[in-house]
Amino acid sequence: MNNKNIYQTFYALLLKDIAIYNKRWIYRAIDALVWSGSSLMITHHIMPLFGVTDPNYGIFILLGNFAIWGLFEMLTSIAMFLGDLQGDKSIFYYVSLPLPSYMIFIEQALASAYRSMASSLLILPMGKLILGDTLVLSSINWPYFIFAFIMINIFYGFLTILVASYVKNLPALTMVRSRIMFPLWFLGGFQFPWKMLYGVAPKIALMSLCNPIIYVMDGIRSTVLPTEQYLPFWNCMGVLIFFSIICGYVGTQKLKRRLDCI
Amino acid sequence: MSSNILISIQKITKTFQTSHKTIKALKGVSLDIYEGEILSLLGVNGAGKTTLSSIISSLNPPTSGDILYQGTSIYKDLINYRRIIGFCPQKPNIDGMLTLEENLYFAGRYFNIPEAEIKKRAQVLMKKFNLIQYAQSKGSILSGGYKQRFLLARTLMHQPKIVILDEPTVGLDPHIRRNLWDVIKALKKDGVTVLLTTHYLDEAEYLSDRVCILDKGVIKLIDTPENLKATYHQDNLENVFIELIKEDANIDEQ
Repeated sequence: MNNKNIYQTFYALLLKDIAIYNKRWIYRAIDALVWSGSSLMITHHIMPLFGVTDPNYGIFILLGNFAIWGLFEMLTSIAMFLGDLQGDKSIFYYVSLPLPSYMIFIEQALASAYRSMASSLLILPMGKLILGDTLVLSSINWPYFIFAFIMINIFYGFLTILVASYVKNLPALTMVRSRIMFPLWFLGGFQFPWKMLYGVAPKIALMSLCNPIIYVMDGIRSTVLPTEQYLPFWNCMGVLIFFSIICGYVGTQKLKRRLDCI
Repeated sequence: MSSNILISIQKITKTFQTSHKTIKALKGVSLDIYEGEILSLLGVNGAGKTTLSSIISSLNPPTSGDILYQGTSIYKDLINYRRIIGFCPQKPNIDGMLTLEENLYFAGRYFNIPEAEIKKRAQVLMKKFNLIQYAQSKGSILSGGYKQRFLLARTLMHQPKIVILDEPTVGLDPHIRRNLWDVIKALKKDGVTVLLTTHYLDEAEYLSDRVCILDKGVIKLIDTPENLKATYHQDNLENVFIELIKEDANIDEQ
């Protein structure tokens, strides 16, 4: 059997996961809109009443919402994985297919990436509706923006399999939210750019460079807002690729051991 | 049943490490599976039958030992080996969001079967297993018996040489069990080799060319149901099995 056949099997698995997700896409897209829309309404319409006058603040939060949604979707993907392990164990059907087991886990990561990309797609148009003329679409560096969007979600996909490989069961999922997701999110520059943090608390800023969400936030924001306020785009993407490789490698090895695959 | 050995299992051991102890699930199991036969793996809970069938299905690696397919270790070309096996798990792991037809189409695509051929085979299998009326239904709405039929159909999509059935009739009503037996018998007629893991002795007796009784990770006996009944002067396999357990208990007491 040649590599072409293996990739075709891999592709068929990915298409299957995409087909399944597309049937319930709208529900997750609405979830993303409700969360992101309510936060944006507060930011854009209420915060100025408290004295927040930066006209870009709404865009800043919109991009943060857009980029962080994948981290929330991670929980859904892990729950699906653990639910399957505790239930029908369809993962063992996939393990019996003609492709190396590590490729099954990579496929799961990419399927998870697809889910977070698809469900967050409507956030940007909704942001345009709420922000109106404040968000000028022509000011977005689209090629960089699309690249960052894909890269960020691929990173979340591999982070998903890494975290899934460590979480024992569904009840333990609450710990993922409180001990992994929230610290990554709130210490990841969601509310302020890294350079601004460095200006006021350099030690904390340097420590937070270990948090990949810093690169997610600065990476995507630098494609829309003035680039000099953010970490360089390609540095952010490089670090995210690095984190994706590490998460992917450790996650696949750990899952192979956990499921006792060949 | 032909005399050609399809799969040769050689001194397979499997050890599981838990935080408290080491469990030796298989202790040097050797056995040949012949082309076109139905071989049943029997044993009480914890005998090692599911562990052995999972290793033969290439889901899990053995701790030591080898499996030869047509004389060559399967671990030298695992991907090709997986193309000739069809694993039918105990749990009905159907993608519940897809229709049965979509599930079968994907099962064909995983094995790189051309699209036209996939559609033809899916139709043939759905007819054969009486699933046509559910073709456009989601897997999640099927009853236990139909789910099991569907799993068999999915397993056969790529026309495997050997089908590994892990307790296919657990929890099914008697008439549905009987119905599935006919389906399994029909596989043999089509030249498919079947490895059946089961708890039901009547099932093993009805279906098998040979039965392999595992106990505490070793093969206790392997023979045709007729020979076993003759050797133990019993009229059915269940009584043979009870005889064997009694023998074991006596040995343990001594």
